[in-house]
Amino acid sequence: MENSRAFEKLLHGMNLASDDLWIGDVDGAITTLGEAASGINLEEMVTLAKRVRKMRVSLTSQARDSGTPEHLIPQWRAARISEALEKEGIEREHAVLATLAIRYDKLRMTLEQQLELYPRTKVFKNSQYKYTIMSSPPEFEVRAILLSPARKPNTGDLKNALEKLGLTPSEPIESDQSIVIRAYSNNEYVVVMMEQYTVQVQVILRKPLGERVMEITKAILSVKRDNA
Amino acid sequence: MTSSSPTLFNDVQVYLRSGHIALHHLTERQIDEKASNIVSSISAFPPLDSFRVNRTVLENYNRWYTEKRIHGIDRHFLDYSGGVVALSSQPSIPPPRHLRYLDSRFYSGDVSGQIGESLFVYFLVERRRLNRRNIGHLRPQKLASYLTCDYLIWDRRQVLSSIIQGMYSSPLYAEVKSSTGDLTEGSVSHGLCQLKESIGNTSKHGLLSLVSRKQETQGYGIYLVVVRG
Repeated sequence: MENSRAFEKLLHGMNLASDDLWIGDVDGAITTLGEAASGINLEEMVTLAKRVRKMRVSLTSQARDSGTPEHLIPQWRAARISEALEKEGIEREHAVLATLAIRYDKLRMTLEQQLELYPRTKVFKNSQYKYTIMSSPPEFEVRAILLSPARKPNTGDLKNALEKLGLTPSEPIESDQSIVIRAYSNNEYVVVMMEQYTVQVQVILRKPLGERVMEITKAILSVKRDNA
Repeated sequence: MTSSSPTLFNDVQVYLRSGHIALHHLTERQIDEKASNIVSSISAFPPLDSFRVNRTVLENYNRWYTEKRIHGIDRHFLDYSGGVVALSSQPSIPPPRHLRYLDSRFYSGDVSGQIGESLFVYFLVERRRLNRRNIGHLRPQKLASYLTCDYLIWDRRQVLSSIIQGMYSSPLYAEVKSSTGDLTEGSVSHGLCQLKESIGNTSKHGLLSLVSRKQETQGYGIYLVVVRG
Protein backbone atom coordinates (compact mmCIF):
# COMPACT_ATOMS: atom_id res chain seq x y z
CA MET A 1 0.00 0.00 0.00
CA GLU A 2 1.10 3.53 -0.74
CA ASN A 3 2.39 5.74 2.00
CA SER A 4 1.33 9.18 3.06
CA ARG A 5 4.28 10.85 1.29
CA ALA A 6 3.20 9.50 -2.08
CA PHE A 7 -0.22 11.05 -1.52
CA GLU A 8 1.32 14.29 -0.37
CA LYS A 9 3.16 14.39 -3.70
CA LEU A 10 -0.07 13.56 -5.52
CA LEU A 11 -1.88 16.38 -3.76
CA HIS A 12 0.91 18.84 -4.49
CA GLY A 13 0.74 17.86 -8.16
CA MET A 14 -3.03 18.26 -8.27
CA ASN A 15 -2.81 21.73 -6.77
CA LEU A 16 -0.03 22.63 -9.19
CA ALA A 17 -2.12 21.34 -12.10
CA SER A 18 -4.99 23.43 -10.83
CA ASP A 19 -2.74 26.51 -11.05
CA ASP A 20 -1.67 25.44 -14.56
CA LEU A 21 -5.33 25.37 -15.55
CA TRP A 22 -5.85 28.76 -13.96
CA ILE A 23 -3.34 30.33 -16.33
CA GLY A 24 -4.74 28.28 -19.21
CA ASP A 25 -1.76 25.94 -19.62
CA VAL A 26 -3.70 22.74 -20.28
CA ASP A 27 -0.73 20.81 -21.65
CA GLY A 28 1.28 21.84 -18.58
CA ALA A 29 -1.53 20.57 -16.32
CA ILE A 30 -1.59 17.18 -18.04
CA THR A 31 2.19 16.81 -17.73
CA THR A 32 2.07 17.84 -14.08
CA LEU A 33 -0.68 15.35 -13.31
CA GLY A 34 1.20 12.55 -15.04
CA GLU A 35 4.28 13.15 -12.90
CA ALA A 36 2.32 13.52 -9.66
CA ALA A 37 0.96 9.99 -9.62
CA SER A 38 4.25 8.10 -9.74
CA GLY A 39 4.54 5.78 -6.76
CA ILE A 40 0.80 5.22 -6.43
CA ASN A 41 -1.16 2.31 -7.81
CA LEU A 42 -4.08 4.43 -8.87
CA GLU A 43 -6.25 1.62 -10.10
CA GLU A 44 -5.97 -0.14 -6.77
CA MET A 45 -6.74 3.03 -4.82
CA VAL A 46 -9.71 3.98 -6.99
CA THR A 47 -11.11 0.47 -6.53
CA LEU A 48 -10.61 0.76 -2.76
CA ALA A 49 -12.36 4.14 -2.57
CA LYS A 50 -15.32 2.82 -4.54
CA ARG A 51 -15.52 -0.30 -2.38
CA VAL A 52 -15.65 1.81 0.80
CA ARG A 53 -18.22 4.09 -0.80
CA LYS A 54 -20.44 1.06 -1.41
CA MET A 55 -20.07 0.08 2.22
CA ARG A 56 -21.15 3.55 3.34
CA VAL A 57 -24.11 3.55 0.98
CA SER A 58 -25.10 0.13 2.31
CA LEU A 59 -24.84 1.37 5.92
CA THR A 60 -27.04 4.34 5.05
CA SER A 61 -29.67 1.99 3.61
CA GLN A 62 -29.50 -0.20 6.72
CA ALA A 63 -30.00 2.88 8.90
CA ARG A 64 -33.11 3.85 6.90
CA ASP A 65 -34.43 0.28 7.01
CA SER A 66 -34.02 0.21 10.78
CA GLY A 67 -36.17 3.34 11.07
CA THR A 68 -33.40 5.75 11.99
CA PRO A 69 -34.57 9.33 11.39
CA GLU A 70 -32.80 10.97 8.45
CA HIS A 71 -31.00 13.57 10.57
CA LEU A 72 -29.52 10.86 12.81
CA ILE A 73 -28.13 8.71 9.99
CA PRO A 74 -24.59 10.23 10.15
CA GLN A 75 -24.37 9.30 13.85
CA TRP A 76 -25.68 5.79 13.14
CA ARG A 77 -23.21 5.28 10.30
CA ALA A 78 -20.24 6.73 12.20
CA ALA A 79 -20.85 4.25 14.99
CA ARG A 80 -20.75 1.29 12.61
CA ILE A 81 -18.19 2.12 9.93
CA SER A 82 -15.21 0.90 12.03
CA GLU A 83 -16.67 -2.55 12.34
CA ALA A 84 -17.48 -2.68 8.63
CA LEU A 85 -13.95 -1.65 7.65
CA GLU A 86 -12.36 -4.14 10.03
CA LYS A 87 -14.56 -6.91 8.72
CA GLU A 88 -13.33 -6.22 5.19
CA GLY A 89 -9.70 -5.85 6.34
CA ILE A 90 -9.51 -2.24 5.10
CA GLU A 91 -7.12 0.18 6.73
CA ARG A 92 -9.01 3.39 7.38
CA GLU A 93 -6.25 5.84 6.48
CA HIS A 94 -5.84 4.20 3.08
CA ALA A 95 -9.56 4.37 2.53
CA VAL A 96 -9.55 8.13 3.18
CA LEU A 97 -6.41 8.76 1.11
CA ALA A 98 -7.95 6.74 -1.70
CA THR A 99 -10.51 9.52 -2.11
CA LEU A 100 -7.66 11.71 -3.33
CA ALA A 101 -7.06 9.13 -6.04
CA ILE A 102 -10.72 9.44 -7.07
CA ARG A 103 -10.37 13.20 -7.32
CA TYR A 104 -7.15 12.83 -9.28
CA ASP A 105 -8.73 10.33 -11.63
CA LYS A 106 -11.71 12.58 -12.31
CA LEU A 107 -9.48 15.56 -13.00
CA ARG A 108 -7.21 13.59 -15.34
CA MET A 109 -10.13 12.01 -17.22
CA THR A 110 -11.92 15.35 -17.61
CA LEU A 111 -8.79 16.91 -19.02
CA GLU A 112 -8.02 14.06 -21.39
CA GLN A 113 -11.59 13.75 -22.64
CA GLN A 114 -11.96 17.46 -23.20
CA LEU A 115 -8.44 18.20 -24.32
CA GLU A 116 -9.51 19.41 -27.72
CA LEU A 117 -12.13 21.71 -26.27
CA TYR A 118 -9.67 23.81 -24.32
CA PRO A 119 -8.38 26.76 -26.30
CA ARG A 120 -4.58 26.90 -26.30
CA THR A 121 -3.10 30.04 -24.81
CA LYS A 122 0.40 31.29 -25.48
CA VAL A 123 2.47 30.61 -22.38
CA PHE A 124 5.34 33.01 -21.73
CA LYS A 125 8.25 32.01 -19.50
CA ASN A 126 11.07 33.74 -17.72
CA SER A 127 13.50 32.56 -15.05
CA GLN A 128 10.94 32.89 -12.26
CA TYR A 129 7.51 32.60 -13.83
CA LYS A 130 5.35 31.17 -16.53
CA TYR A 131 2.41 33.32 -17.44
CA THR A 132 -0.39 34.02 -19.87
CA ILE A 133 -2.21 37.17 -20.85
CA MET A 134 -5.94 37.21 -21.42
CA SER A 135 -7.11 40.19 -23.37
CA SER A 136 -10.57 41.58 -23.56
CA PRO A 137 -9.72 45.20 -24.53
CA PRO A 138 -9.70 47.54 -22.79
CA GLU A 139 -9.26 44.99 -19.99
CA PHE A 140 -6.33 42.62 -19.74
CA GLU A 141 -5.49 40.01 -17.15
CA VAL A 142 -2.07 38.52 -16.59
CA ARG A 143 -1.92 35.26 -14.68
CA ALA A 144 1.48 34.00 -13.60
CA ILE A 145 2.72 30.98 -11.65
CA LEU A 146 6.02 31.06 -9.83
CA LEU A 147 8.32 28.22 -10.82
CA SER A 148 9.33 27.88 -7.16
CA PRO A 149 7.44 29.34 -4.18
CA ALA A 150 8.53 32.78 -3.03
CA ARG A 151 7.82 35.26 -0.32
CA LYS A 152 5.82 38.32 -1.16
CA PRO A 153 8.05 41.12 -2.45
CA ASN A 154 9.22 44.10 -0.49
CA THR A 155 6.45 46.68 -0.63
CA GLY A 156 8.88 49.49 -1.48
CA ASP A 157 10.30 47.53 -4.44
CA LEU A 158 6.82 46.89 -5.81
CA LYS A 159 5.81 50.53 -5.39
CA ASN A 160 9.03 51.66 -7.11
CA ALA A 161 8.37 49.37 -10.06
CA LEU A 162 4.86 50.82 -10.44
CA GLU A 163 6.11 54.41 -10.13
CA LYS A 164 8.74 53.78 -12.81
CA LEU A 165 5.86 52.80 -15.09
CA GLY A 166 4.32 56.23 -14.49
CA LEU A 167 1.65 54.91 -12.14
CA THR A 168 0.66 56.14 -8.69
CA PRO A 169 0.44 53.19 -6.32
CA SER A 170 -2.09 53.00 -3.50
CA GLU A 171 -1.14 51.81 -0.05
CA PRO A 172 -0.91 48.02 -0.31
CA ILE A 173 -3.16 45.68 1.61
CA GLU A 174 -0.89 43.05 3.07
CA SER A 175 -1.23 39.85 5.01
CA ASP A 176 1.48 37.37 5.95
CA GLN A 177 1.53 35.67 2.58
CA SER A 178 -0.19 38.01 0.15
CA ILE A 179 -0.10 41.55 -1.07
CA VAL A 180 -2.67 43.47 -3.09
CA ILE A 181 -1.83 46.86 -4.52
CA ARG A 182 -3.67 49.15 -6.92
CA ALA A 183 -2.06 51.77 -9.14
CA TYR A 184 -3.47 54.56 -11.26
CA SER A 185 -2.63 57.07 -13.92
CA ASN A 186 -4.80 59.20 -16.17
CA ASN A 187 -4.81 56.39 -18.70
CA GLU A 188 -4.43 53.22 -16.69
CA TYR A 189 -5.73 51.28 -13.74
CA VAL A 190 -3.76 48.29 -12.48
CA VAL A 191 -4.48 45.78 -9.70
CA VAL A 192 -1.69 43.46 -8.60
CA MET A 193 -2.23 40.44 -6.35
CA MET A 194 0.74 38.35 -5.27
CA GLU A 195 0.82 35.26 -3.06
CA GLN A 196 3.04 32.20 -2.46
CA TYR A 197 2.68 30.72 -5.91
CA THR A 198 0.89 33.15 -8.17
CA VAL A 199 0.69 36.69 -9.42
CA GLN A 200 -2.42 38.21 -10.94
CA VAL A 201 -2.32 41.57 -12.70
CA GLN A 202 -5.47 43.21 -13.94
CA VAL A 203 -4.94 46.11 -16.30
CA ILE A 204 -7.48 48.52 -17.76
CA LEU A 205 -6.14 50.89 -20.37
CA ARG A 206 -7.73 53.95 -21.95
CA LYS A 207 -5.87 53.06 -25.13
CA PRO A 208 -5.66 49.29 -25.25
CA LEU A 209 -2.09 48.68 -26.37
CA GLY A 210 -0.69 45.18 -26.02
CA GLU A 211 2.86 46.54 -25.78
CA ARG A 212 1.95 48.55 -22.71
CA VAL A 213 0.41 45.47 -21.06
CA MET A 214 3.60 43.56 -21.72
CA GLU A 215 5.69 46.42 -20.32
CA ILE A 216 3.61 46.51 -17.12
CA THR A 217 3.72 42.71 -16.83
CA LYS A 218 7.48 42.46 -17.22
CA ALA A 219 8.10 45.26 -14.72
CA ILE A 220 5.88 43.66 -12.07
CA LEU A 221 7.17 40.14 -12.59
CA SER A 222 10.78 41.30 -12.32
CA VAL A 223 10.32 42.68 -8.79
CA LYS A 224 12.67 40.68 -6.58
CA ARG A 225 11.15 38.00 -4.36
CA ASP A 226 13.02 35.77 -1.93
CA ASN A 227 12.55 32.03 -1.95
CA ALA A 228 9.98 30.77 0.51
CA MET B 1 -4.06 42.71 15.44
CA THR B 2 -5.14 41.35 18.79
CA SER B 3 -8.51 40.07 19.90
CA SER B 4 -9.06 43.25 21.87
CA SER B 5 -8.96 45.43 18.74
CA PRO B 6 -12.26 46.98 17.76
CA THR B 7 -14.38 44.81 15.53
CA LEU B 8 -14.53 46.06 12.00
CA PHE B 9 -16.92 45.43 9.19
CA ASN B 10 -15.15 42.46 7.63
CA ASP B 11 -13.19 41.31 10.62
CA VAL B 12 -12.80 37.68 11.51
CA GLN B 13 -12.34 36.51 15.08
CA VAL B 14 -10.88 33.07 15.66
CA TYR B 15 -11.50 31.07 18.82
CA LEU B 16 -10.04 27.75 19.90
CA ARG B 17 -11.65 25.24 22.24
CA SER B 18 -9.12 24.00 24.80
CA GLY B 19 -8.28 20.31 24.74
CA HIS B 20 -9.17 17.47 22.40
CA ILE B 21 -12.31 15.46 21.88
CA ALA B 22 -11.52 11.74 21.57
CA LEU B 23 -14.03 10.54 19.02
CA HIS B 24 -13.44 6.85 18.67
CA HIS B 25 -15.32 5.58 21.69
CA LEU B 26 -18.17 8.06 21.51
CA THR B 27 -21.58 6.51 21.00
CA GLU B 28 -24.26 8.14 18.85
CA ARG B 29 -25.81 9.74 21.91
CA GLN B 30 -22.45 10.94 23.24
CA ILE B 31 -21.65 12.61 19.91
CA ASP B 32 -24.91 14.54 20.16
CA GLU B 33 -24.09 15.47 23.75
CA LYS B 34 -20.64 16.71 22.71
CA ALA B 35 -22.23 18.76 19.94
CA SER B 36 -24.70 20.23 22.38
CA ASN B 37 -21.87 21.00 24.80
CA ILE B 38 -19.87 22.72 22.03
CA VAL B 39 -22.80 24.90 21.01
CA SER B 40 -23.63 25.90 24.58
CA SER B 41 -20.02 26.73 25.46
CA ILE B 42 -18.96 28.31 22.18
CA SER B 43 -19.12 31.86 23.52
CA ALA B 44 -16.56 30.87 26.16
CA PHE B 45 -13.98 29.56 23.67
CA PRO B 46 -10.71 31.46 24.27
CA PRO B 47 -9.78 33.90 21.48
CA LEU B 48 -6.89 32.81 19.27
CA ASP B 49 -6.59 35.36 16.51
CA SER B 50 -8.32 38.25 14.84
CA PHE B 51 -7.79 39.67 11.39
CA ARG B 52 -9.35 41.75 8.68
CA VAL B 53 -10.11 39.90 5.48
CA ASN B 54 -8.59 41.02 2.23
CA ARG B 55 -11.44 40.18 -0.08
CA THR B 56 -9.34 40.02 -3.24
CA VAL B 57 -7.27 37.31 -1.60
CA LEU B 58 -10.38 35.60 -0.21
CA GLU B 59 -11.74 35.32 -3.73
CA ASN B 60 -8.69 33.28 -4.68
CA TYR B 61 -9.22 30.83 -1.84
CA ASN B 62 -12.82 30.55 -2.96
CA ARG B 63 -11.55 29.64 -6.40
CA TRP B 64 -9.00 27.12 -5.21
CA TYR B 65 -10.47 25.45 -2.16
CA THR B 66 -14.24 25.40 -1.95
CA GLU B 67 -16.83 22.83 -2.79
CA LYS B 68 -18.90 24.66 -5.36
CA ARG B 69 -17.20 27.79 -6.44
CA ILE B 70 -19.48 30.79 -6.64
CA HIS B 71 -18.18 33.69 -8.63
CA GLY B 72 -17.91 36.92 -6.70
CA ILE B 73 -17.67 35.57 -3.18
CA ASP B 74 -15.71 38.70 -2.31
CA ARG B 75 -18.78 40.76 -3.06
CA HIS B 76 -21.12 38.35 -1.23
CA PHE B 77 -18.88 38.61 1.79
CA LEU B 78 -20.06 42.11 2.60
CA ASP B 79 -23.70 42.08 1.61
CA TYR B 80 -24.54 38.61 2.81
CA SER B 81 -26.59 38.83 5.94
CA GLY B 82 -28.93 36.32 7.46
CA GLY B 83 -29.29 34.46 4.20
CA VAL B 84 -31.44 37.17 2.66
CA VAL B 85 -30.59 40.10 0.44
CA ALA B 86 -32.44 43.39 0.30
CA LEU B 87 -36.16 43.20 -0.30
CA SER B 88 -37.65 44.14 -3.62
CA SER B 89 -40.51 46.61 -3.45
CA GLN B 90 -43.95 45.03 -3.28
CA PRO B 91 -46.78 46.08 -5.64
CA SER B 92 -49.61 47.82 -3.81
CA ILE B 93 -52.16 45.36 -5.27
CA PRO B 94 -52.39 42.29 -3.07
CA PRO B 95 -51.33 38.98 -4.64
CA PRO B 96 -53.91 36.28 -5.53
CA ARG B 97 -55.20 34.24 -2.59
CA HIS B 98 -52.72 31.76 -1.11
CA LEU B 99 -49.90 33.29 -3.07
CA ARG B 100 -47.31 35.83 -2.11
CA TYR B 101 -45.04 38.07 -4.05
CA LEU B 102 -41.47 36.99 -4.54
CA ASP B 103 -40.14 40.00 -2.76
CA SER B 104 -37.08 38.44 -1.22
CA ARG B 105 -34.34 36.36 -2.71
CA PHE B 106 -32.73 33.78 -0.53
CA TYR B 107 -29.18 32.77 -0.90
CA SER B 108 -28.77 29.05 -0.64
CA GLY B 109 -26.70 27.62 2.15
CA ASP B 110 -24.04 27.13 -0.50
CA VAL B 111 -23.02 30.74 -0.14
CA SER B 112 -22.41 30.53 3.59
CA GLY B 113 -20.63 27.20 3.06
CA GLN B 114 -18.54 28.86 0.45
CA ILE B 115 -17.55 31.72 2.69
CA GLY B 116 -16.83 29.34 5.56
CA GLU B 117 -14.50 27.15 3.51
CA SER B 118 -12.74 30.15 1.94
CA LEU B 119 -12.21 31.75 5.34
CA PHE B 120 -10.88 28.53 6.84
CA VAL B 121 -8.20 28.18 4.14
CA TYR B 122 -7.50 31.92 4.28
CA PHE B 123 -6.82 31.57 8.01
CA LEU B 124 -4.52 28.56 7.54
CA VAL B 125 -2.45 30.15 4.77
CA GLU B 126 -2.51 33.85 5.51
CA ARG B 127 -2.37 33.70 9.29
CA ARG B 128 -0.65 30.38 9.99
CA ARG B 129 1.68 30.32 6.97
CA LEU B 130 0.64 26.88 5.83
CA ASN B 131 1.81 26.04 2.32
CA ARG B 132 -1.40 26.20 0.33
CA ARG B 133 -0.33 23.38 -2.00
CA ASN B 134 -0.37 21.08 1.03
CA ILE B 135 -4.08 21.57 1.50
CA GLY B 136 -6.24 19.06 -0.32
CA HIS B 137 -9.88 19.80 -0.82
CA LEU B 138 -11.49 16.42 -1.15
CA ARG B 139 -14.92 17.28 -2.36
CA PRO B 140 -14.66 19.99 -4.95
CA GLN B 141 -16.71 17.84 -7.28
CA LYS B 142 -19.17 16.74 -4.62
CA LEU B 143 -17.78 13.25 -4.22
CA ALA B 144 -20.87 12.04 -2.48
CA SER B 145 -20.70 9.08 -0.12
CA TYR B 146 -16.95 8.56 -0.27
CA LEU B 147 -15.24 8.15 3.07
CA THR B 148 -13.74 11.57 3.49
CA CYS B 149 -13.86 14.86 5.27
CA ASP B 150 -13.62 18.27 3.61
CA TYR B 151 -9.84 18.71 3.76
CA LEU B 152 -6.63 16.72 4.14
CA ILE B 153 -3.74 18.88 5.30
CA TRP B 154 -0.08 17.91 5.17
CA ASP B 155 1.86 19.93 7.69
CA ARG B 156 5.27 18.38 8.24
CA ARG B 157 6.63 21.64 9.70
CA GLN B 158 3.93 21.43 12.39
CA VAL B 159 2.91 25.05 11.88
CA LEU B 160 -0.49 24.20 13.31
CA SER B 161 0.88 22.63 16.49
CA SER B 162 -0.28 25.53 18.67
CA ILE B 163 -3.82 24.91 17.42
CA ILE B 164 -3.66 21.14 17.69
CA GLN B 165 -2.07 21.63 21.12
CA GLY B 166 0.64 19.04 20.60
CA MET B 167 2.47 17.06 17.93
CA TYR B 168 0.55 15.25 15.27
CA SER B 169 1.12 13.29 12.10
CA SER B 170 0.08 14.33 8.61
CA PRO B 171 -2.37 14.37 7.11
CA LEU B 172 -4.58 16.31 9.44
CA TYR B 173 -8.29 15.92 8.74
CA ALA B 174 -10.55 18.97 8.66
CA GLU B 175 -14.25 19.55 8.32
CA VAL B 176 -15.91 22.96 7.94
CA LYS B 177 -19.47 23.78 8.95
CA SER B 178 -20.85 27.23 8.31
CA SER B 179 -23.87 29.16 9.37
CA THR B 180 -25.29 32.62 8.93
CA GLY B 181 -27.04 32.58 12.26
CA ASP B 182 -26.42 30.56 15.37
CA LEU B 183 -24.65 27.26 14.88
CA THR B 184 -26.96 24.31 15.38
CA GLU B 185 -26.28 21.16 17.35
CA GLY B 186 -27.22 19.11 14.29
CA SER B 187 -24.62 20.76 12.12
CA VAL B 188 -21.90 20.39 14.76
CA SER B 189 -22.89 16.78 15.36
CA HIS B 190 -22.65 16.00 11.63
CA GLY B 191 -19.21 17.58 11.51
CA LEU B 192 -18.05 15.42 14.41
CA CYS B 193 -19.52 12.32 12.74
CA GLN B 194 -17.72 13.10 9.49
CA LEU B 195 -14.43 13.33 11.37
CA LYS B 196 -15.19 10.23 13.46
CA GLU B 197 -15.76 8.22 10.31
CA SER B 198 -12.50 9.43 8.77
CA ILE B 199 -10.31 9.21 11.87
CA GLY B 200 -11.82 6.20 13.67
CA ASN B 201 -9.42 4.50 16.04
CA THR B 202 -6.27 5.81 14.35
CA SER B 203 -3.81 8.17 16.03
CA LYS B 204 -4.80 10.96 13.64
CA HIS B 205 -6.02 14.39 14.61
CA GLY B 206 -8.78 16.43 13.09
CA LEU B 207 -10.00 19.98 13.11
CA LEU B 208 -13.65 20.95 13.12
CA SER B 209 -14.00 24.53 11.95
CA LEU B 210 -17.31 26.16 12.77
CA VAL B 211 -17.77 29.40 10.90
CA SER B 212 -20.54 31.71 11.90
CA ARG B 213 -21.70 35.11 10.74
CA LYS B 214 -21.77 37.59 13.58
CA GLN B 215 -24.90 39.56 12.86
CA GLU B 216 -24.14 42.29 15.32
CA THR B 217 -20.80 43.17 13.73
CA GLN B 218 -21.30 41.85 10.18
CA GLY B 219 -18.05 39.98 10.68
CA TYR B 220 -17.35 36.27 11.04
CA GLY B 221 -16.29 33.97 13.86
CA ILE B 222 -14.23 30.85 13.30
CA TYR B 223 -14.53 28.39 16.19
CA LEU B 224 -11.96 25.61 16.11
CA VAL B 225 -12.44 22.27 17.83
CA VAL B 226 -9.61 19.72 17.87
CA VAL B 227 -10.50 16.04 17.73
CA ARG B 228 -8.52 12.81 17.69
CA GLY B 229 -9.07 9.09 17.30
